[in-house]
Amino acid sequence: MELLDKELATFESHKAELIGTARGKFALVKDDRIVGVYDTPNDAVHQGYSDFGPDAFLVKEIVEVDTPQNFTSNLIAV
Amino acid sequence: MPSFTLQMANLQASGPVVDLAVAVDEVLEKYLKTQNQPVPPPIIIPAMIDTGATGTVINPAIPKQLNLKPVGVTFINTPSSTNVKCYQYPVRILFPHNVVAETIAIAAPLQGQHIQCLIGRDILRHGVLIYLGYANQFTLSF
Repeated sequence: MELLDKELATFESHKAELIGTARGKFALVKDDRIVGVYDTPNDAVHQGYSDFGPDAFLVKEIVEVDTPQNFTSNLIAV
Repeated sequence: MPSFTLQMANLQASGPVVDLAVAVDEVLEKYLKTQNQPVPPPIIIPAMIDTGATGTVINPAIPKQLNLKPVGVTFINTPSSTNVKCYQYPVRILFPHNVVAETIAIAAPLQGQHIQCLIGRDILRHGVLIYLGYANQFTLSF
């Protein structure tokens, strides 16, 4: 299992409910728990660091479909 | 308004490149200090300001050196690939003249030249970028 796989599964299992109540906001997820919902990703990250220190946690925008990020530069080696 | 201006020998050839420092998030730094844990020192790297980048990209070696764990997963499209999964890490970007930006950067390998970071539109959206081509000079203000 890769890093954050568990948190991504938790998010997916709560996604429909979160979209109904907090679309466009950011969920903070740790293990199998939705810790909270925040207005900005930085708010969620800061709460995550306050609660969990340097451990991995997930901050995820609450949207139906994730939009990929685009790069025109060929400097990225993927 | 905090800002910095850089004069390049040949701005067209080099692009808007700046040496900056990448550091751990301020809240994580405070947490580590309260726990009497060492705070990884900032890493100084060359970066390019890239208006063609949706988000800021750092070489994957950088979060490793800063002992960071990911806080997100995103997918990226590049000229040669689509939907590549990448981890995301919160970082503080320390530009010259104490210009500071916080963002959640994407870790992806960068090839060629010496660039270790692309400053993307997630940071640029907060500021003013002046590209003065005829003077080989650029300014970034927030």
